[in-house]
Amino acid sequence: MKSDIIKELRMGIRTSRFLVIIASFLFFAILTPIMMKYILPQLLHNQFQGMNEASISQMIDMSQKGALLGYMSDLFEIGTIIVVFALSGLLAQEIKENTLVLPICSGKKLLSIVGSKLLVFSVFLILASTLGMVISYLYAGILFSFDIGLWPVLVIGLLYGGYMIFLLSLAMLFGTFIKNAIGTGFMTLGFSLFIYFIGSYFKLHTYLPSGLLIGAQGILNNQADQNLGITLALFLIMVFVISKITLIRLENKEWNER
Amino acid sequence: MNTIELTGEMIIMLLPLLAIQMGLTIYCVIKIMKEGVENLNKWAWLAICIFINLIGPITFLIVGRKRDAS
Repeated sequence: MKSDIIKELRMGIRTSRFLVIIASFLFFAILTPIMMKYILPQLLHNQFQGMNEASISQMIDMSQKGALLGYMSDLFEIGTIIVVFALSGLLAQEIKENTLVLPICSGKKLLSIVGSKLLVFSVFLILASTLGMVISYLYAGILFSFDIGLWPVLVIGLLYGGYMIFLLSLAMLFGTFIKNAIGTGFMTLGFSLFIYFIGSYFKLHTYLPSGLLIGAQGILNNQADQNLGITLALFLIMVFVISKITLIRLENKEWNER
Repeated sequence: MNTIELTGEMIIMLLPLLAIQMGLTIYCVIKIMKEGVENLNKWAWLAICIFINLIGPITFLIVGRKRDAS
């Protein structure tokens, strides 16, 4: 398992997956507070001539909380696309290029291969989303004022990291069905958006991984109307079940097919 | 016309963003020159990485890198 973890770390650096994810998270973490503070008010001022500062600040929530909410929305809209496409080749590419055959033939267990991928990228996604959230918090705090404590921001970062882990497990599962990384990415993205839509339409977010995002927004807005314990427990069960199905799919795969 | 007034404070706050963008662009340009590309030609990827903010280098790193070289 240790050698698999080291291999995944090396592959993550070599294929620039870590770089893509961390760069995009940090980019939006820095960009959103600056947009809120300088660019949006100037754009609104140019669009609606004669509008004063007070009316502009009524139109957009110019506070640390507003900036963090903006960052969270960016992370959901653009961050998930980047994460899904960066990680879509994790299994799909290996199956397509037959690079899993050698480790399997040399006696490596599939559980160890899949487990190390899940472990390395899960830890990385949690660290990246928490770091992004803290940087956005600090930037927004410097630009506006420190209205919120650091603890809720850390919890929000962990919840967003959790949602990204769900996307990772989905990308790995779909990678065993479709051998194409881009196809896997689109399927994962479509499925995650479908889950979000189902959660919103039937008000089922508490029982779906998308509830982690809604719970995070609730924490920032001080609206604890959702039982996060249930959402977290169901999210862990779902990730476990998805990983188990991925493993079963790989175990039943004919590795020497052309 | 929409004009954005750049203040000194704004430029200082934008510096880390500029560093990320420049760093990614330079990294991608080096990768394109050293390792080669896939799906599009070299000049197209160079233009995408240099002129499209953030998404350009990220798109190249996800779909444009030559697999054999990595």
